Amino acid sequence: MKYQEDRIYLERVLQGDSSAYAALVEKHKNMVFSIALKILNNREDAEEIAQDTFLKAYQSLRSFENKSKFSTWLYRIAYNNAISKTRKKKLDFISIDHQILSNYTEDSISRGVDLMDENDQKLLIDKALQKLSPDDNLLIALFYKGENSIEDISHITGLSVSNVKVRLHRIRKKLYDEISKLTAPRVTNG
Amino acid sequence: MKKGNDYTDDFLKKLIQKSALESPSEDFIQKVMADIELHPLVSPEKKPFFLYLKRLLPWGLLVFILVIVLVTSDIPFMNFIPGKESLSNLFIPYYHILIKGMTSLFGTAKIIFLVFSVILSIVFLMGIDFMVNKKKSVFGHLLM
Repeated sequence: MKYQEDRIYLERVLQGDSSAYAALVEKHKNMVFSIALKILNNREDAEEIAQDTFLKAYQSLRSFENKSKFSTWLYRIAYNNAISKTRKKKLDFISIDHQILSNYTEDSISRGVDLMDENDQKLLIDKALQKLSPDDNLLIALFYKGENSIEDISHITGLSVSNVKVRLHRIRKKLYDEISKLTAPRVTNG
Repeated sequence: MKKGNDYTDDFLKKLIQKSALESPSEDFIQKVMADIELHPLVSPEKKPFFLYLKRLLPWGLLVFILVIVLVTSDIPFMNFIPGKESLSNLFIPYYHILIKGMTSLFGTAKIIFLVFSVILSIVFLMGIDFMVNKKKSVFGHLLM
């Protein structure tokens, strides 16, 4: 389904067409739910938080000043709601020392993966992502899947821009490491 | 295929995007819209005018105190205000009554004047603070 820009739906909602909000919910429900799920690790709680997020956003629509994108604003509400549920001030993005294998190159990894069919690639990345922490998965979802900018992610999570960059860099290294382990027989050098 | 030693990586991005985001239940949108029906968007009500007057009360008191102090003071340029002398004559007796009444309480006129001046100054500063912080919303409501 092709969606219009968020501001078009927002204008219609503010003019009294509440059904336009359904389109916004449809467009953003997966990301909002994913954010909650990564933090809470429980589907029922995550769905409750996601529902509450959309309700709070709807009730606050008149105070949304368009200083940021609607999606950034919405995801921040989701993040804060989920964090409140865990009663933590913010996610503890703990840096874990990760031993990086040195017997592969990223080029060789990508060559090996390119040889796989679509289904195998999907299974591979799902397995690799399962090895990451929920915090890392949250950043992955926001940056790679949601295609939010570093600045947007900083605004959503409360991390500084430089912190987000450093973490994404480390996550990238971890992912290559995990993919390397999962595809070892297929890796060829040279 | 763009690679780098930083987080930007087209290969990884394409691979990660093969893994879909998690989805909520199928009736999620219906549940959200049902919630919204129970909590419709309401335009902020226009406040009755007397509520604006209530907001202006501290301003009014402040201006009143300021006028009394300036009119009954000996600041030279204030002598050009028409009716200043008669106003001073009107208010000064009340000052004397107030001070006389407080003399027995505090013992000396100096302490009374000091306390009175301090209280007036505090009220004045609080008024300035209120004006600076609330001015925007007061005028905003006045224009509505």
